[in-house]
Amino acid sequence: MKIREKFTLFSFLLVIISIAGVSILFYFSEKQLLTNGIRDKEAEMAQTFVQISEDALRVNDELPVLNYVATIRKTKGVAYALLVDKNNTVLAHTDGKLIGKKGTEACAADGITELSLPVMAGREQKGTARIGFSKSVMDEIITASLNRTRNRIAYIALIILIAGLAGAAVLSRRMTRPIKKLSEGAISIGEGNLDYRINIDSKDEIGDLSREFNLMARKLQELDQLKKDFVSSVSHELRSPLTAIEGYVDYFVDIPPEKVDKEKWQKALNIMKKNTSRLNNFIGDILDMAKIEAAQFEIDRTPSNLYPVAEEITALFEKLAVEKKVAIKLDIPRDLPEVMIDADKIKQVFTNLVSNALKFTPEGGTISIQAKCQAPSPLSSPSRGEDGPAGPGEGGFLEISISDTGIGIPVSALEYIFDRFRRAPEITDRIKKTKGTGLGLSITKGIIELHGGKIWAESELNKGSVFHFTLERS
Amino acid sequence: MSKKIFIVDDDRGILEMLRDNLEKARFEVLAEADSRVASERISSEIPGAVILDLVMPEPDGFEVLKSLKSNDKTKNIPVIILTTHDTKENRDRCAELGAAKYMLKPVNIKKLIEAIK
Repeated sequence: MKIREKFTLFSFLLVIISIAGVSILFYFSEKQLLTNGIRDKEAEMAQTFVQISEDALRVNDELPVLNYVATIRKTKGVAYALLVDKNNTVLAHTDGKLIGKKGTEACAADGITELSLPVMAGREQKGTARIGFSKSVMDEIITASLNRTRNRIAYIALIILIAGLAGAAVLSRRMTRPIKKLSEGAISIGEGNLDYRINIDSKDEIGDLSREFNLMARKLQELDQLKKDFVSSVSHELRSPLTAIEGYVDYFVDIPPEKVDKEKWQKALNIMKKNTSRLNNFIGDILDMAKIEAAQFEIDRTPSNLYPVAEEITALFEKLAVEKKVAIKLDIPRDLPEVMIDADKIKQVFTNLVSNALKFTPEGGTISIQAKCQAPSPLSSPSRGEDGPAGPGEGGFLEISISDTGIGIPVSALEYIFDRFRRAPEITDRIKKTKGTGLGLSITKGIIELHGGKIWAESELNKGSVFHFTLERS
Repeated sequence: MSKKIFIVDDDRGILEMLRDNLEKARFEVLAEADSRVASERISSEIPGAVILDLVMPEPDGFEVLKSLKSNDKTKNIPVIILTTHDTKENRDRCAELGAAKYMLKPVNIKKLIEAIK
């Protein structure tokens, strides 16, 4: 059963139950009211009878009593009325033949309610006035009246019911329409239309849901884009170097060795060498990334001094830095406490970060590498115990920072620069040639996390960026 | 047909490789790695054909192609797209923009020369 039908049915039942409850309550209170009203009338009638009888006995004129009795005989529901003196001799009766005879016993017949009141003269009882009311006639009156009331209730209830049903139908349609829209959206997105957006801007839960839904669709779209970017990055990085290599192989393949131009041969070899190492690096990166993702990237940590590691990498980049007229400053104290690292992997981290810094820092800029002890904190415990024996010392971390005076990273890009193949488009547009696979930072992050450390970046556009990471002390 | 071929590719290795191969096939080769000046140079050189890479820093191959096709002097020069990107989307877009041929890297030099002829 559809929600809309359920909701309509539910509302409809609710309306019926409410109407039934109110009607029943109203019916019984009306019945009570009617019964009470008739009792009051009966009592009033008896009172009047007594009054007239008292007046009549005082002046010894029975005529008004006889007249009154004649009147009430015609009143509906009155079975009989009589006045007897203190000797129980009938003075007046609705049945004229009984006057002068002895009064019958009270409540003579079934189905009769009798009201019997004393007729007084001063303090002396002079007689008794009695009126018998027929119960069945009274019930008939009540029933007739109640029937009218019941009809009226039914009429009103029917109107309310129709209005309620219509209201429930309209309301449920209004409530389920956005749900229907949502489900249409889900189907559309499921079919691959990732740019589908649901257009509901209500402030209620459905509105929240559709906003969440749109957000999800946008994330899916981003993921899809990332997947496409991945394929196109991989294909570019594999095919480009291969193109150069294969092209030169084709060039030389049909030239006899003695006719090969020496200069051209040397140039071709250089280009092929550059491209084979480019291929090699990329394949290494891809494999590292795959291993990190499959949790098969192995690191072998030993207590090591960080200084020689950083120094080696700085030396490696010195030539390139001089060419680019960028200064690299190594500001790490030699006497820092040892850290638990796989030195080869941490060299990879330094290489990635320094080469990035160099890539994005213009002439005259500075790259500086710093390190300091982080205060040991019980909260930042080095979770990954299985990576190596826990250090016996005071624990805590070293924080290493590599800062540059480069073009900076937009705040919007800071959150995804560690994602694989993501390079901030704003940056690649501005720097003409930025070769890179887009894997470096995600591998770097993977390595640092395997060491139980953290990595993050800060940046200011056109001022520079700082990459920080932490390493566990031994 | 002029034997002058103009190559636009930001990858210098590929650029040199294409230059050497096409010169070996007796073409006159002009090459440009900077896409920003490519269309200007092409419009002054008026080569017989252009070999154009797609993935380059701004402007990319699509934009260079667009500017060539919108210039009366260069709009009739056949443009061969040479790229690593094998997607239908790119093929369609290049065809729409007026590229004569869409070829994938790594390219078979003989086929490339055939295509130029």
